[in-house]
Amino acid sequence: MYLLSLFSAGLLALSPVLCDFCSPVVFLNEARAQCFLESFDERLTKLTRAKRNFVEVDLDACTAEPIPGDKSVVPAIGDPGFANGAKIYLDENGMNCLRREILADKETFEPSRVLDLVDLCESRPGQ
Amino acid sequence: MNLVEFLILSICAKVGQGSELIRVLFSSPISRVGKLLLAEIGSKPVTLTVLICGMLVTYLQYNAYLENEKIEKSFQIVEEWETRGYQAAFSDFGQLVRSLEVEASDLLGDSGENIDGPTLAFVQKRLVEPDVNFDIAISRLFYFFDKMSLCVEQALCHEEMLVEYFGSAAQSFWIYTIAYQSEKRKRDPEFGRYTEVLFSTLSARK
Repeated sequence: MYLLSLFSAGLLALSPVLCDFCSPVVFLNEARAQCFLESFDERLTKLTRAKRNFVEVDLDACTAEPIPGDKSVVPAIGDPGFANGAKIYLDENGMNCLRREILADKETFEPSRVLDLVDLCESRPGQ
Repeated sequence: MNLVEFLILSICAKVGQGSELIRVLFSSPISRVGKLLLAEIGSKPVTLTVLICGMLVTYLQYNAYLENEKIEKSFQIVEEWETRGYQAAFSDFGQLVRSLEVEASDLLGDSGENIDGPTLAFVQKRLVEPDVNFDIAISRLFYFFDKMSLCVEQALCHEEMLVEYFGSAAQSFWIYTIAYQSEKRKRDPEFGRYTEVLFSTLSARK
């Protein structure tokens, strides 16, 4: 019984979880999903060189104008992209699992969707 | 007979033209007396002017009445916020957010980088499963904002007034509780739906 408890605790410790500063949800539409895929490699490279275990990804960086339709889903307080859901923070597990999710559901991001990264990435870690 | 029809017939009657048309249109025995009465009134410009002015005044008075009702209802909402514990719950919520922000700031350290984004993510993540007392407080706040939003949505409350009073609080609340809502919607897909509508309204104003 004692060994079983130890084994369970060990498994729990090994199961990937999102970092404390990783965004728990992400607002995606087709443009943002595409932008994430386009910047994936560059962001992952930046993550490996970063001091912290997470990296900022600006999902609106690929579009010159704010994405129409976002206003109906997400709030926008002032300028910062993080407030309207454009800037997200992910660790390696989060990056991989979001990529996997986008590739799996690429057709379903219009008009927009909210993805629960805690749910997606902690129950099914990125590969 | 609509207003335009009535006016045309009245003018025709006044200038003495189209009497045949009037005779045909007014030939129905059911409303003949009523139509003749209307034509009689319509043929006198002063009576007609008074009638139109009266209708206009009634319409304006009705609108003013509706506006007053909306303002009164909005004041009731504000009063509820202040006297039924919602304001206190929001204050507690604010303190919780501040304490989480301080915790995030301590963990991130001072590296000279802008830490607003990661700090917000930290708070949002921690609020997914708050302490049971805070859970109750947050749920109550959602109930309030839903109720307020529904009142605005149904045009029963004064939108400008409520947005002015609660707009900024509601927006902050929405942003910090994004992940909390997502968690709640797994069990109740409609959780916070009207608050979301309020957000769309507020965001569209930016």
